Amino acid sequence: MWPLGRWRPGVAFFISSFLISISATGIIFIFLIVESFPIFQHEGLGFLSGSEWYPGEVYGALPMIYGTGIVTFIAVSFALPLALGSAVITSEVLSRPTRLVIKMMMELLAGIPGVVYGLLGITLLTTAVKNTFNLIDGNSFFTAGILLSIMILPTVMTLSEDALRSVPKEYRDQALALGLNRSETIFHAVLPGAIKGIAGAVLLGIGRAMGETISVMLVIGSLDRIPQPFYNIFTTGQTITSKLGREGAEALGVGYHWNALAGLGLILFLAVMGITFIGNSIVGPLSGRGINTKRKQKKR
Amino acid sequence: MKPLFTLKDVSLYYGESQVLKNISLTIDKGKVTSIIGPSGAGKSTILRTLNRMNDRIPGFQLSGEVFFDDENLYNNGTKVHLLRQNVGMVFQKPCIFPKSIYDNVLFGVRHLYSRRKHEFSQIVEETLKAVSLWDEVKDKLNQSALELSQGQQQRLSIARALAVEPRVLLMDEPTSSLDPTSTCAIEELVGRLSGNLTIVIVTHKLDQAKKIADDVVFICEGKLIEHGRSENIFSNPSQQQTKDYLKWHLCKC
Ligand SMILES: Nc1ncnc2c1ncn2[C@@H]1O[C@H](COP(=O)(O)OP(=O)(O)OP(=O)(O)O)[C@@H](O)[C@H]1O
Ligand SMILES: [Mg+2]
Repeated sequence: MWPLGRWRPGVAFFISSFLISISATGIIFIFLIVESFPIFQHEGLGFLSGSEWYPGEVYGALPMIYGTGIVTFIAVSFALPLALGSAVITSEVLSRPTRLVIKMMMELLAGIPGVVYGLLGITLLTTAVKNTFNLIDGNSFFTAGILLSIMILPTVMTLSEDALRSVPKEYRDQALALGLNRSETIFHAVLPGAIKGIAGAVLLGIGRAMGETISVMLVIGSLDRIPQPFYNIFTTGQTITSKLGREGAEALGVGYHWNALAGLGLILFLAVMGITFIGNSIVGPLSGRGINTKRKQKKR
Repeated sequence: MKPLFTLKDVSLYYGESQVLKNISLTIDKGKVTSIIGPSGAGKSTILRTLNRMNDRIPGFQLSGEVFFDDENLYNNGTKVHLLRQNVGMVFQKPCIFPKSIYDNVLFGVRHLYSRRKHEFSQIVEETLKAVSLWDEVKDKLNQSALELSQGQQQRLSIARALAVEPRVLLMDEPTSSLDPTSTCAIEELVGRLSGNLTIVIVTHKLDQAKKIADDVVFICEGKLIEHGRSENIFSNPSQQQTKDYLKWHLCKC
């Protein structure tokens, strides 16, 4: 049936899926470059530094770049301490059954689609933010940042927990045997061994936060502006993704407007690719080794 | 003289299985006590009872009493980390942190004496000299300790335990993964350190126990079979099981 030998189908599947993913990434990249090229010709670097965006006149991407940056920053600032704290407690304090339940819940949460978070965001979160901070409008950078922090929390938490558990049990025993108490053991023996894995988890979380579209679109208010002063995060704004989500369909293929949106896409693509790449190269080899150590320990 | 450790009718369980059976035992101050017995007898378990390292094993349960001086260790009041600062431990396989030699020696000390920073380099020199490692590493204290040989790593982990200035050193087969030269170095070290320090060492090498121990404890299947002066146990054991074990290296208990 397989004239070239029995191993052929497996190799063929491997090669074809590898080629498909490589070429898809390549095609997207080339597509974005080609489609956005005219806007860089037209606006020059002003496309990156301009803060005015009026279709048909001027295209400045800075408010969206700012929005993506600040919203991601808020998301990580809130998610990281929570995720790390709960990862430490789950890995170092809780019993095995409890830990497994929590891990399962986290992995479930990580799989909930963004739009569901978005709906919860517009109903509950915007009102809560509005009332808490006495705002006229509950849609803001802050709201989007908080919503994103809730969305990336499970991923960051569960990957950080994996990193903590991959630290060999011997390190803990050795630190305890030297008379360190539980928290000193965590700080001096466990966290240093897990720091790379945690950094990787955070970078993957950042990548996810930067790319999330629909939920951000629903709570950010969609106004292309950098707030005055720039740290006033309780105002409405725009991110790259929310901009693309709103204007993508109407601008489809139409002149500079379309080219400018493709330019935004290119910026986001490069940023997310870069961060995911760094994240994977930090996490990948390390977590692989960690899983092995973990298995060995469970057997004993 | 009053013993340092006193075990009174200690039984230890992991879940359903009973690992130590009604053990009563005293361990003298300043002596080298060697625990011998076949594999799985419960040697490591007894040792780890003395610094409460068994506590977090699932299903752990202990009955009876363990005294360290006058302190009942399994009373609720015992501060476990303070106990372990007094009762140090060296494991079978040296556990070296991915840090410099210098930082490894100070691992147990840094958080203790944060006020005594100026003494750190002196502590490092003294403890490394105590384990005869100083001459080998004094020029590369800031290099990674992972580059040391297995025997050097084990001596480093002894230095690290000594740096905390414990009164007791528990050693669980500290030479079983080492070459003969390193083994001799550690046996010599044990002899030199005893006196000021009480040492309890688990081994299943009988010649090692004969060489370094003042007292010998023979256990088998969780039961204490015989405990006495080293010369008595090896030349004239009182129990038939001990005779069999010394001769054939196995026992029916
Ligand atoms: N973490 C654990 N969980 C459950 N049972 C254990 C655990 N550690 C040890 N045991 C059991 O306790 C008994 C005694 O083990 P222990 O490690 O004290 O023996 P040992 O005399 O030190 O043996 P060895 O010479 O092989 O090191 C064994 O039957 C072992 O299976
Ligand atoms: Mg053992």
